[in-house]
Amino acid sequence: MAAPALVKLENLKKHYPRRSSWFRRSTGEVKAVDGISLELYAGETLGVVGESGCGKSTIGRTLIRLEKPTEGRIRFEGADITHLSSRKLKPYRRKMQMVFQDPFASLNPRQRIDDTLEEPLTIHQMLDKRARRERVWELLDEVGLDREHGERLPHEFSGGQRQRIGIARALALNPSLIVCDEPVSALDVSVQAQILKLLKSLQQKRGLSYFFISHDLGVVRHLCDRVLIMYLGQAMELASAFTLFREGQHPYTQALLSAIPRPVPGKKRERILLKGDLPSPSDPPSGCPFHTRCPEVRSVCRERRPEWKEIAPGHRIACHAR
Amino acid sequence: MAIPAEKFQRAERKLTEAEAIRRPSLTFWQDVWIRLRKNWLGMGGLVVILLLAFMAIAGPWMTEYTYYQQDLGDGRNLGPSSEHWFGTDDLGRDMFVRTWYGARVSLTIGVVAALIDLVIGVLYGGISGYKGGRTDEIMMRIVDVLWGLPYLLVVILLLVVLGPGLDTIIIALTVTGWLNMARLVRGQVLQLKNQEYVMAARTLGADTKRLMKKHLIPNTMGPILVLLTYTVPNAIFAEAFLSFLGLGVQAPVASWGTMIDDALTVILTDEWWRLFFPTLFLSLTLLAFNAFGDGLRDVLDPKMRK
Repeated sequence: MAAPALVKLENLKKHYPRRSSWFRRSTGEVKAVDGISLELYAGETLGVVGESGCGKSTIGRTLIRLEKPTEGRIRFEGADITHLSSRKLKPYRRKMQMVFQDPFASLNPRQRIDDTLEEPLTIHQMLDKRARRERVWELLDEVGLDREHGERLPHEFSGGQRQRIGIARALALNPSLIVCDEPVSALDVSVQAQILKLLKSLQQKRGLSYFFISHDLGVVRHLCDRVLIMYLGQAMELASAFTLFREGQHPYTQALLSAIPRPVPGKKRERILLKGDLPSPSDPPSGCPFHTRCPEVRSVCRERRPEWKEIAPGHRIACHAR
Repeated sequence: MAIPAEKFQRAERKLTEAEAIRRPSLTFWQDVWIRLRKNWLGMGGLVVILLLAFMAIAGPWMTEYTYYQQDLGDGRNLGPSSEHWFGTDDLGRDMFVRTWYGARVSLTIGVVAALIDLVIGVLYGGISGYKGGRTDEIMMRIVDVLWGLPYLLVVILLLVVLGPGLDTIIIALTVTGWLNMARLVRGQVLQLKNQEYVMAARTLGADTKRLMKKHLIPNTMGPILVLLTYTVPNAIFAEAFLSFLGLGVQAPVASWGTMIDDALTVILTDEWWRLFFPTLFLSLTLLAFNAFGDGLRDVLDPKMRK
C-alpha cells in the first residue's frame, strides 16, 4: 500500500502505575500496551484480536488520546498528536471517533437521543440550531432509526437500537476513523449481523477506516481487511485477513485459529491446546511473552524479545521459531 | 392426525414492529412525579411542607397583630381564644403571629443552609471526584480534618466571634454542613466518570465544564436531592437547638427554638399553649421533611421501579 497512513503508531506504550497508597511510591506497573507499531490506511478495517486483558482496548483508547501514552508516538494524517493539549486536540477529535462495547452504558441515561446526537455538533460549533436538528434527523435515518426516536430516552431502546445510536453519534462529526471497541460482543447473534452490515455499508458510503477491536474471530474474518494478533500488550502477528486465516504463522495465531468452531460436522481437525494460564500483565515473562505457553518454545525465547520482522510483503510476525 | 399443508399460513414478522416502543415517552422527572404520586408517605410529607410554607408566608398577615407588638396590661399569658388563636406569651405578644413568623425564620434557615451546602458540596465533591488522584486525596483529607472538628464547638465559637443573628447561624451551619454533600457527590462522580457515556463525551471533545454540567451532575441528581431533603430538617433542628441554648436569633425576632426556650419558664404551670404550638409545628416540619425524603429515596431507587 503506497498511500500515506491515516494513523501511524510508533512503538506505542501505555503502562499503568500500581500504587497501593498515597505515601508509598509505585510498586510496579501494568504494561497494558508494550511497544506496538502499526499503520492504519484510509478506508480499511484493521482488526485487533487477543484474549481479555491483552491491551487491545487500551490501544484503541490511547490511539484516540482518551489515555495518555507512556511512550512512543501517534501520528494522525502525518501530524504528531502524541502530546497535544486538549484544546489543540479538538480539531482532531472531529476526525476520530469511537463506538463503545456496552450499549447500555455508552448513552447518558438522562439525555434524550436527539440531544445526545446534537452534542457533538454543539461542542464543535457546527451549523445553526435548525440545521443541527436536520443533521440529527439525517443521522437517525442513516443508522435505520425514525425521527420520532429522537425524543426518547436511552432506556426505552433495545441493545441493537442503542448501538445504532452510538454509531450515529460517532458519525455526527464526519470522522475519517472510528475505533470500534467490541461493538457487537454485547448483542444477540442476529442483531450482531445487522450492526455489522450497517458498519460495512457506512464504510462503503463514507470511506471510513475502522480500528476494530474484537475477540470474535468469525466477526473479524467477516469484516476486516487486515488483522493484528496481540498477546500481553505485544504484537504477535499482523497480516491481511485472507493470509492470516489461511496461513497464520505464529504459534499463538495457529492456536487461536484452531479454536474457531467449525460448522461442518465430522471434519476432523487438530486442536492446538495451550497449556497453563495467561500470565499477569503486571509481571510478564521475559523474552517473548508467549514462551510460557508456546508449544514450540526454544531457549532463545526466554531470553530475548523477538523482533517484529516482515516475512512477506505486509505480513509481520514476532517469533524466534519462524 | 395430519394437517394439510394449505392450512398453514406464513406468519409475517416485521423487524420494525418487533422493536416498536409502546411506552409513552417520559422525561426522567415526569417519571419520578408519576411514581411519587403513588407514594403516600412522600406525598403526605410534600403536602404538609407546602401547607407549612404557605402558612409561613400568609400566617403573619392573617391577624392584626405583629410579632413584636406587646401588651403588658391584661393581654399577658392569655389562653387560645377567638381573639388570640394560639394565646399570648408573657409579654402579651400574639402566639399565632409569632408561630408563623418563627416558621419563616426556621424554614428560611433550613432552605438557605441546604442550598449553600448544595452549591459548595457539589462543586467541591465534583472537582475532587473528577480530578481524582492526588488532588482527590488532598481535598478529601481536608474534609476529614473538618469532619473531625467538634461541630458544636465550631458553631459556638463562630457565634461568639460574629455575634448572634440569622446570617451567623446560617454560616455556622454551613461551615460543616457541606461535608456530607461533598462526600456524596465525590463518590458518585468517581463512579460515573469511567462510564462509557462520559468517555464518549470526552471523545467528542467535551470540556470539563460540559462533562460536569451535562453528564456527571444530572446523573447524581437523585441522591443529591434525597440528601438535600434530609439536610433541611437537620438545619432547622440545629437552629432550634442553638436558639434553645440562647445562641439563636435575638428578640424580638422569633424562631421556634427561641419560643420553646421562652416557654420553658412556664413548663410547670398550666399555660400549655406556650410550649405546645411551637413544638407541634417544629416536630411536624421535621416529620414532613423526613417523610418526603424517604418517599423520594424510594421513588428514585431504580430497584423500586415497577
